[in-house]
Amino acid sequence: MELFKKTLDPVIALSIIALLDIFMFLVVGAWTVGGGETMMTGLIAKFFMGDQLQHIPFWDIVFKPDATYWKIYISLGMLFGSIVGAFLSKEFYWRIPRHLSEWVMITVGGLLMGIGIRLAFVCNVSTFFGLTPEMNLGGYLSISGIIAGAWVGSLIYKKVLGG
Amino acid sequence: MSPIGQCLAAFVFGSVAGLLVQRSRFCNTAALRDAMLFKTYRNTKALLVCMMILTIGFTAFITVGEGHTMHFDVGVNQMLGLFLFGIGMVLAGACTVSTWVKAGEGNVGAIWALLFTFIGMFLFSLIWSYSYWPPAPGSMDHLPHLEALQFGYANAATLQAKTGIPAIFFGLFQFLVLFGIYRAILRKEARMAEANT
Amino acid sequence: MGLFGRDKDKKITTDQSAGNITLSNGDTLAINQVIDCLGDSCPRPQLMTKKAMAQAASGDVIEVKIDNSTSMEAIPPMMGELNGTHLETIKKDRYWQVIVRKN
Repeated sequence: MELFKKTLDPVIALSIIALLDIFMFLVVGAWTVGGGETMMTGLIAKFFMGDQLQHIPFWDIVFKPDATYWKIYISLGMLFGSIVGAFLSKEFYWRIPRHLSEWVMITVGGLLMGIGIRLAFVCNVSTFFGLTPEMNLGGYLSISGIIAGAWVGSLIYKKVLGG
Repeated sequence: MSPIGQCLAAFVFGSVAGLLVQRSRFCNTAALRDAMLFKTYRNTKALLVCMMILTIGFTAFITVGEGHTMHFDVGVNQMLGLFLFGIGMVLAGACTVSTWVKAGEGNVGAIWALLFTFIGMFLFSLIWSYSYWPPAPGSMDHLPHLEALQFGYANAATLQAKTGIPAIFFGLFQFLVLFGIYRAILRKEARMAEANT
Repeated sequence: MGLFGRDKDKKITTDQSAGNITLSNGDTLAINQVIDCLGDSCPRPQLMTKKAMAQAASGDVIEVKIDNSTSMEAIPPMMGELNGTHLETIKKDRYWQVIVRKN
């Protein structure tokens, strides 16, 4: 199939996703990832800690671990879809970062992303594909924040690599 | 809709989105970073087109009172949180979407980033409390709470209710702004192509 | 498998015997420099290419080995800014070869 041989134009891909997202908006809610990831964190933590988890107020009041929360399945669906796409186009192979600096930056970046999502209560997907199209004022604040952050991050990256 | 139906719809949507993102190599991080670091706009253009379609679609349905809007209050915490997120996503080289998509491609770095996103979320949940500043439901009841830096709830639906002007009108305005940015990028690319030939 | 950056200093491997490459239009070119970016995440391959392009002499052919799909797609649009030409992207078994030439 042609789709699995060459790269799809991102404008076409994102237009299809936009139309599907409008449909999702009517059925359950706009595309979001951060909420699902939080719920997964809760489920994993519950698996390891059991009833101990109830002593942390966050998991008792805001996100009670619940496996039937629909946002989890968007994330799992994306994983599934990309595995299918990678296998059909023969692009699936393990890629392992080889530089120590890479591992350190990924670790720090991952932690910052997690903390940022929880502090803001939104992630970048809900900012660009949910809040701003709904004209929520928070969306504009988020966009200004993420642009400033990406700028600072680029500076750090350039400094680390010295290039 | 039953929870199972919601989960199924979400899974189908996620699968299609994941497949399309994998095939088109779209990356939300790259959309912001490449525009600043390398002055290339491949992903930025796609992001802008997607936002234009979504703005019209969402505000049109909000005008007639349909759809499930996100109930998030406006607050300074969003700006701070996304600032941290922005630094993190450039360092990790992937945002929330691309970590999942690249994990599906077998990128160990992305799986590692995902793991630490979970750990970061858990660490932050430990210092969270119901009442004090890091945004809590206590101050997120759709009313302004200045001491918690929360400004209440405002989106196209509340605008429509307050001014009586249909939300689609504001949507069109935002569409034009986004389209203006898109046009400026196209013109800049044309200028660069001209300078090279 | 230099996981802990023992090979940090030889990020750019300059290999004079890098060999030739045959493009799809039948031309065979000698490669002047190979940049090995296997396993690197975005945007390191782009930065490496930028660095190498700045040092390369006019007419040099550079091969960038990438296994990160988003970086692979990001190289060709960068070429206008870096005063280079993207010749071809060849898909290999486990990575892509992006062939670029400095103008």
